[in-house]
Amino acid sequence: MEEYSTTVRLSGFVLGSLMFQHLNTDSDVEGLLVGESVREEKSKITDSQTDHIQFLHTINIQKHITCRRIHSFYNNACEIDEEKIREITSNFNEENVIGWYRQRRNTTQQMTLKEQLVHQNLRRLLPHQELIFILLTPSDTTSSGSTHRLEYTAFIWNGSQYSSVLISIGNLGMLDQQDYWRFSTTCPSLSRCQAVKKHKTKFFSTEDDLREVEKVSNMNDALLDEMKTACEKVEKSERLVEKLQADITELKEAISKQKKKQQQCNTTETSTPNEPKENVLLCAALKALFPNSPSLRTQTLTVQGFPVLEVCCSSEHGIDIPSRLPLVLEYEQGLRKRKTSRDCRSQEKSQVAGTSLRRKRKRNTTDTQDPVEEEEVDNLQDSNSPVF
Amino acid sequence: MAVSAVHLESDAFLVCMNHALSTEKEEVMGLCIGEVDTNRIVHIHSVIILRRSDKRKDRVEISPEQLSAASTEAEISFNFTHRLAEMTGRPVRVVGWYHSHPHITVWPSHVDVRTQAMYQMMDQGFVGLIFSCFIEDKNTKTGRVLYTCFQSVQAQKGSEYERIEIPIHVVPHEAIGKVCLESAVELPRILCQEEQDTYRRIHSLTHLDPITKIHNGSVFTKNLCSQMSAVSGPLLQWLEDRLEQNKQSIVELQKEKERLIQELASL
Repeated sequence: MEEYSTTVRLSGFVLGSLMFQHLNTDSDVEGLLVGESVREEKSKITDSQTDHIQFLHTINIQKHITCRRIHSFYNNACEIDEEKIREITSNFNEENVIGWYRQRRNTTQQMTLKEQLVHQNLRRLLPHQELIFILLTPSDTTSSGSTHRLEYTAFIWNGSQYSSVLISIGNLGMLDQQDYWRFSTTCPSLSRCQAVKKHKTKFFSTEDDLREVEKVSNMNDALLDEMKTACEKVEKSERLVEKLQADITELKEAISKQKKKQQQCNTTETSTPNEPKENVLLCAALKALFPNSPSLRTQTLTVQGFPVLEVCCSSEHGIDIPSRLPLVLEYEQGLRKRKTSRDCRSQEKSQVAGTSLRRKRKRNTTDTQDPVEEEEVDNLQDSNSPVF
Repeated sequence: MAVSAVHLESDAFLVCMNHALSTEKEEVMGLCIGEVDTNRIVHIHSVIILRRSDKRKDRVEISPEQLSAASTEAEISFNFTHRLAEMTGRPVRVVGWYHSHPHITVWPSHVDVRTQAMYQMMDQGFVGLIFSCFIEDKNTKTGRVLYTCFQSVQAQKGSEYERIEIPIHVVPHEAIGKVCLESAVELPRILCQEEQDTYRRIHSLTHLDPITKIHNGSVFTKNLCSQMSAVSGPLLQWLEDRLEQNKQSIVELQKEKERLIQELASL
């Protein structure tokens, strides 16, 4: 009979580090897991069976690699970016990448479809076939915000579906000080015997101090010193990271201020982009040609297409018509000549007909028409428009 | 008056969590360092791991007198070593305590509530934090860690105390502070000192024969090896990983800084 058992292990420091990463981020976080996988076979003999074999698979997670942002190594179609994976794991042997993780707030402990697809695609790419996915889901337990919870599970593909595996947190466990003996055995012969006296010096450096205790204490002290040195290096690097982040924030603020300043200068020098620029030459030409038609000198029309008289340009632009617009001057002179000859002919006709065509057209216009507009209509209908 | 909320900086939270997760067989405790502002919000920006002189598996609290002595010593040591008061321009002091509940519910026991009430007699703004860990749901194969914050008030009936919930927010603090780092690496040192003290006490018993002494030496070696394997080793690993991560961040941040300097110069 065979029995399969999988265990996932990580230290409290790795779990703490994962929690720390998520607490410092507003969004979900993701990353890869590095560790090793150990398989063991145990034979177990029981009263009922002599061939009970236990296959134990232990996955030890040693560290996690943080991804700067989510979806960094896969796209929206859950396809893995091999280049990105290689970049992330450049300092590690790809065989040591044993899984990936995701942390998402206020959600259930279930793999989403997207996570399942990413996992399958990662399995195809990475050499370690029994890849694990760890899901961490922090949430609030009470509405007051006094109590918070983090749940965590490992998921592994077992050929037909994903199964969840309990994560075991490695810790000190029982440092059982009850293991110390406070009393000796009640055998005085043991203390006096030649065997003990002869070999005692191999264990004791002086009368009372044990060599083994000295050696392990020295090794532990050396380890603590090494840890202190590592701590000092980490502290320096933390301060440097902090300083660089502060410098970057300052630079971004300075750039933003500079850009705003430049934008303000640009807007004061030129007119606002929303207002159309006035063609002063055209305005002067229209004024010269149609002095009694101020509505022609507007750039603003109503929705129905009528000129808005309130915004008609009435300013003198100081344009010297003979030098800047000589054609307008020529035309104006021609217009005056034509008008004079037309007036003479109409006087002759009116004497014959009695009522002019102009007056008939006048009566056809609306009663509410402004007298200025009436004149404008007359002017326009006299074919005064320049021909270009 | 009760505290309105607790703001615990994430690097201080990390130290508490590491300490709580260091052992599933006994409760651990420590002190919270920080200040209380005018809105009655307690700001905790570091913690001190406490060494327990009388270890019991199921109890962790110390008497108010011991707490007061420990707090004074902690504050003196803390301010002397770190000169935090000078650096921040604000007085810093012990503002609360935390302890762990391995394999048990996060809610404070009646003893915890009574202990908290006694601490509050010395300082009404004193808060208690509890970290519950090593909780496992065998059915769903889910592990769980919880943390809560509380104070104590006199119950309406009788002379007992009851807990009141205090909202707790973990405030992001991406870079780990010097004080928190030093507190984190204090844990293996404290464990080693506790073990050495226990061993010396037993080894000093005069009536022990050589075989017993050799046995006790082996127990000491075994226990120290357990500490190195379960605590010092993983902690050293984490420090090295953090250093590596910071080195990569420094390279990326320096590139970003140079790019921004060029952008500013071009404007």
